[in-house]
Amino acid sequence: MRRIVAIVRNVWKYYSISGRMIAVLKNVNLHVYRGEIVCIHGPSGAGKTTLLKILAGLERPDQGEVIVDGYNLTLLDDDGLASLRTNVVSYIPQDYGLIDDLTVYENIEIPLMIVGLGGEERRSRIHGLLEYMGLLGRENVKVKHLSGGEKQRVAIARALAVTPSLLLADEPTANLDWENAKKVLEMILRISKDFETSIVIVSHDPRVLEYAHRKYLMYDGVLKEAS
Amino acid sequence: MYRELALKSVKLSVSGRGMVYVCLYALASSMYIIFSPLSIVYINMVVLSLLAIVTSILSDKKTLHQYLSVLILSGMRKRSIFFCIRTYISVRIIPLALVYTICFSYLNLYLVAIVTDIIFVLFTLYSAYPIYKVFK
Repeated sequence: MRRIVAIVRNVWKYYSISGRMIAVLKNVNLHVYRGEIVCIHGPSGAGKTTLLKILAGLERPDQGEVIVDGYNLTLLDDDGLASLRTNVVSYIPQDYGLIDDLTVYENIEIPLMIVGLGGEERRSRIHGLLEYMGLLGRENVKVKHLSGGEKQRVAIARALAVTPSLLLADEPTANLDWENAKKVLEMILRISKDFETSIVIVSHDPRVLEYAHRKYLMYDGVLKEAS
Repeated sequence: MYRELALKSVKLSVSGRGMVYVCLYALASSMYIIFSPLSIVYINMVVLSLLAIVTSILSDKKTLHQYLSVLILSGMRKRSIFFCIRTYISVRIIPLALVYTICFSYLNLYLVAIVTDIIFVLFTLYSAYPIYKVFK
């Protein structure tokens, strides 16, 4: 029987825009199995990123329930959500979530420092990740000198450093040409197989849907499973 | 963990462009204080030095924003993030505090030097929260 890693149940989220409450997510339901890739496709402003942030514990739903790897996010306080991001969920924002002035090595090192790994263990873990992502030899290059594709791979390496159960990628191909985008998506496919990591991708690019095991469509805050 | 993240904060603070602005401001204001030793000048320079620190932080806002984002995404707790912000600001304050302490001591104004340093410490402690809120 396949194990469910994430459940989103009857989630509503409202934002206050110039004094009016606008529903960004309307009764959203979603489940993600272990090792599968789920793609949420929809136009800009449909609520995709908000849903991803709720799954990452960066925002809270106004109604409903979110359970990730057995943790009910709606019951956790801020420190609990932070712990969840340390061990269970990794989120890759659209702008990669990297520090331009630090090197590739230093960027990947930060989550491992927070987890509390020792220097030697960190070095071997980062070396393994760089090898896996095809970035060996680039570890001492500052992120600002990398291409878009390389930055995305570093962002994935940073997210994978703590071996999360759930990896969330916000528009991972938005800033890339299709050749580089394909490489990144193939890398994501390989990660889901090798690490059995569940991956949720949100994208407005329909070509990304080919790489997903299950597809959802999101429009105006409503999520529907696509055939 | 704290030691390593403090070192990372120090590195980012020192390597930022804003650090150059702070050092140049510290040098200019020390000359001004030595050549015009008036109490109104001391007060002005201390107030302006706080603005200089804010300006230096704003000049590196992209890096600071990226740093805080990475810390939040990596699951760092709010209290630890404040620690990193305070370390970052402290490094920016050190050249100013050092220069002012030397200048005021040179002019036998030890009380002014102590008050100035207390202002810098309070600024470091209380600016972490608004910076976190703004950049988050």
